[in-house]
Amino acid sequence: MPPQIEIQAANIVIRGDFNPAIFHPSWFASYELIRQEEADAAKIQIVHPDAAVFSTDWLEFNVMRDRFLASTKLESHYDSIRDLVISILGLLSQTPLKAMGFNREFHCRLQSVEAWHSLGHKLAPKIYWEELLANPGMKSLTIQGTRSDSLAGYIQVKVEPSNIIEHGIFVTVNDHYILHSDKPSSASSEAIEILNEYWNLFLDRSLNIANTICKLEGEE
Amino acid sequence: MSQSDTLIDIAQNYPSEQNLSTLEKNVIGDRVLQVQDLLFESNSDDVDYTGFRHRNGSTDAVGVDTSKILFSPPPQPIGYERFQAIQKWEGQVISVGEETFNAQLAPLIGEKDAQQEAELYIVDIDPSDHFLIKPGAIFYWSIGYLDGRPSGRIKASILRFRRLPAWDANELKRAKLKSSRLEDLLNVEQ
Repeated sequence: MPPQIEIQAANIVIRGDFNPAIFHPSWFASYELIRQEEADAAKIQIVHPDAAVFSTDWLEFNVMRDRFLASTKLESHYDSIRDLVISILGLLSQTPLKAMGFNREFHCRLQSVEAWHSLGHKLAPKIYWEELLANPGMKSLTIQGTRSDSLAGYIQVKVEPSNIIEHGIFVTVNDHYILHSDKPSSASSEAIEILNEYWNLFLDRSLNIANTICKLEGEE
Repeated sequence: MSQSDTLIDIAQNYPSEQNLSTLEKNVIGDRVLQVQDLLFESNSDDVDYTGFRHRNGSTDAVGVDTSKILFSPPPQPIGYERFQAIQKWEGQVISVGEETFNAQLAPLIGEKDAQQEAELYIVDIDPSDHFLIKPGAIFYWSIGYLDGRPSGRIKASILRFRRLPAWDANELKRAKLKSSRLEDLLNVEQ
């Protein structure tokens, strides 16, 4: 059986200055960003001037004073996450923003324990470590690359053994954008433009990265 | 445990000179720090780091000490639902009838044939979304496997309409127009 992606999630993170107290599910429903039924059924962990954390059946939402996160584990709702963030940025266009990140994570099942070890050796050759450590093994590997588009930022990929799937790997992709605009309203527009233009590209690229890494185990 | 039970329990265990508002502040402060530490990766020298992922091995982002919080989180589920799309389209409503609506479909995942038209039943849409079914409305239609349920895998169809505040649609139009102009420019240069 070829390597298979079994679990995945995607999220959008924004760094800036936020007021968590306003992010109550009822606020979202009042602007029809989520259904009223979703707001009523939301599991609220906290809504406070320093933090807002709640979840619905498809959305995990967390805001601190300097960080904003919208996440989903349902591939059917990846576009809804983007739309939700666009809406929020549009409604709160005066919020100072500094950076935005698209993140996707995958748990991939490999064919066998031998394939799992083989992939670890390919990504992190042990030849240099065997003189220094007994039984060296790859615990975590992070590789960062520059962007191939005109935007400021980077792309970072992290690979680890999966703690959920036996003989699996955990791949995460962070697509980081630096927001340069001096005025809050410009930063918001810039972030909205990036979400409109690059979210689908990010989904395709991150899936390609994960699939390529998972399939390395089978290559000689 | 109800919220009021938790507050009483905390009040009984704290020095009597602390009033409830101070207690609440301390407890929430602790809670905020717990959430902050657990959610975001701290091993970064970039103050504007935007990486986030669930803890490897965890099905949820937040695992908290319930002895110090005002809200008791729901019990962690043994598994969680996850959806893997095998086919996904972005659709735009063309016209709306009494029982059906017509839409243009552009494939996003799966077989990427040319755009096609489809007729969909309004009854297949959640009643609370019916007001969104208008000519020009955008929706996302996914067909795939819903896993993580105790009863096993099911093949599911999920259709969700795009929700944007009205004036944001203009921003979107402007952004798309700008993108379209850039595309034309690039095509000319080639």
